[in-house]
Amino acid sequence: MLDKATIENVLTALGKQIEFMKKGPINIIVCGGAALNVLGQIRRTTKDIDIVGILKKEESGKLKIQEAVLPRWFVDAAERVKRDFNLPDTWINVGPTSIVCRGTRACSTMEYDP
Amino acid sequence: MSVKEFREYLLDSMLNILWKQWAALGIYSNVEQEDKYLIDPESLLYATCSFGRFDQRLFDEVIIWLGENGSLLNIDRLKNVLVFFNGLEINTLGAIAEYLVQKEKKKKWDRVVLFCERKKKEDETQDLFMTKDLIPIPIVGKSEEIFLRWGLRRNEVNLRHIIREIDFENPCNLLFKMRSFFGINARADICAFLLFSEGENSLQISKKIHFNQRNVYHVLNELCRSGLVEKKYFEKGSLYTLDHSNWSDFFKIDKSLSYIIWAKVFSALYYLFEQMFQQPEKFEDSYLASSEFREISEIFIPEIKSSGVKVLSKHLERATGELFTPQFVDYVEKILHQLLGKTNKIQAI
Repeated sequence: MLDKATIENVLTALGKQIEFMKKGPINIIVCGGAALNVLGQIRRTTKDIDIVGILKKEESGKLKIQEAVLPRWFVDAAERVKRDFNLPDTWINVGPTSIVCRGTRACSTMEYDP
Repeated sequence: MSVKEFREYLLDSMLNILWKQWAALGIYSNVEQEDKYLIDPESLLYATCSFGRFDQRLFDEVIIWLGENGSLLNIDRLKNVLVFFNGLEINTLGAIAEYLVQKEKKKKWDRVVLFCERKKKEDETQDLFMTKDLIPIPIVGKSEEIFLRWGLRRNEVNLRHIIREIDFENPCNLLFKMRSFFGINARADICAFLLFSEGENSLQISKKIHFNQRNVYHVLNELCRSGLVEKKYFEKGSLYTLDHSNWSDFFKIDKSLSYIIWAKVFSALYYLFEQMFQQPEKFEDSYLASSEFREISEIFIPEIKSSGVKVLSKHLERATGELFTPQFVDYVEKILHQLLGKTNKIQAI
């Protein structure tokens, strides 16, 4: 189970793996227990990190949340972190990304207005 | 221990192991001679081609030794052992072999030259010798032509030709005693292996002694015909054994001697060293270093375990994240202590 310190630790590790591969950056949007935990809203542990989408900045400056289709290098880096920290297979997953689709056929992006 | 210190420790220990074994084979040195493990000369030569690049004196002493005692090496086996080293240092071996043919007039090494030429790596010319800080040692004076042809830059070879004879009474040199008795063939190596085995089939034996299985099977059956080696039949196959006490008395074998698969030990340790040596940037961050050591361990640990070196690795499975590095370093340290004959760090199985 992941507590706040572990979540931060494994995400830092993931960032280092990606940086070493000379890939990224990638902005992932996390929801659920892991997000609330890091924000200090809850203290209970969580079993995984749920990615709801990927944040992309367009040339116009507009931010868009895209469906989380993770690139191969991200998956490889996550696999190494999984092995290094003895994490479950789905320690970081895109389970909730269907929220982004909102039931539209295109299932691609939604605009984000902070 | 930092990663750099660990790399230096590994290199120093490996050079120490090589010196110990070569000293037992007759090279003059002030280090203690090997007295615990049966020496495997073909694997030792490959390890020297690799680690010897960090110790020119050892490297050149070995060329002298090969000139004097090369007849006791098995060229077929030398080729088979190369598989463990993934073709590493094939150019170094080729250069040594060509030097022995041309300068020392040892025609036996022609076969090695031909073999190495087929597998030769056409890389840019590089300096043969390096300091322990991985800095190439510059050449003073003329470069050695033979080595240059193999893409290796070094000063002219200047051999002293001072060497002791192999001490056949040293238990670690049993393989040389057997080869002198049976000839340079699989028979000598099979019998030496069986002296330390409780019984194995021909496939297992061929894998452990690095000979072709057909050849091993054929020789084992010939040995069985003599009645001095026994074939025991089981449901799943047959195992070969010999009467340890009779053979041990005849060959004067020291019971404290151990048989390990040196090709696996040397290649695993060189693989670890090579990873740290070729990509030091991977080890700069403490987490990434741990991740890299874990990656290395997936190849390293099974090789060590199957070599016969008995050091526990259970605690490694429990170490996560950055905690893996100190545990892995400790594991390797225990292996090196065991190989060097230091007992304080050894764990019982």
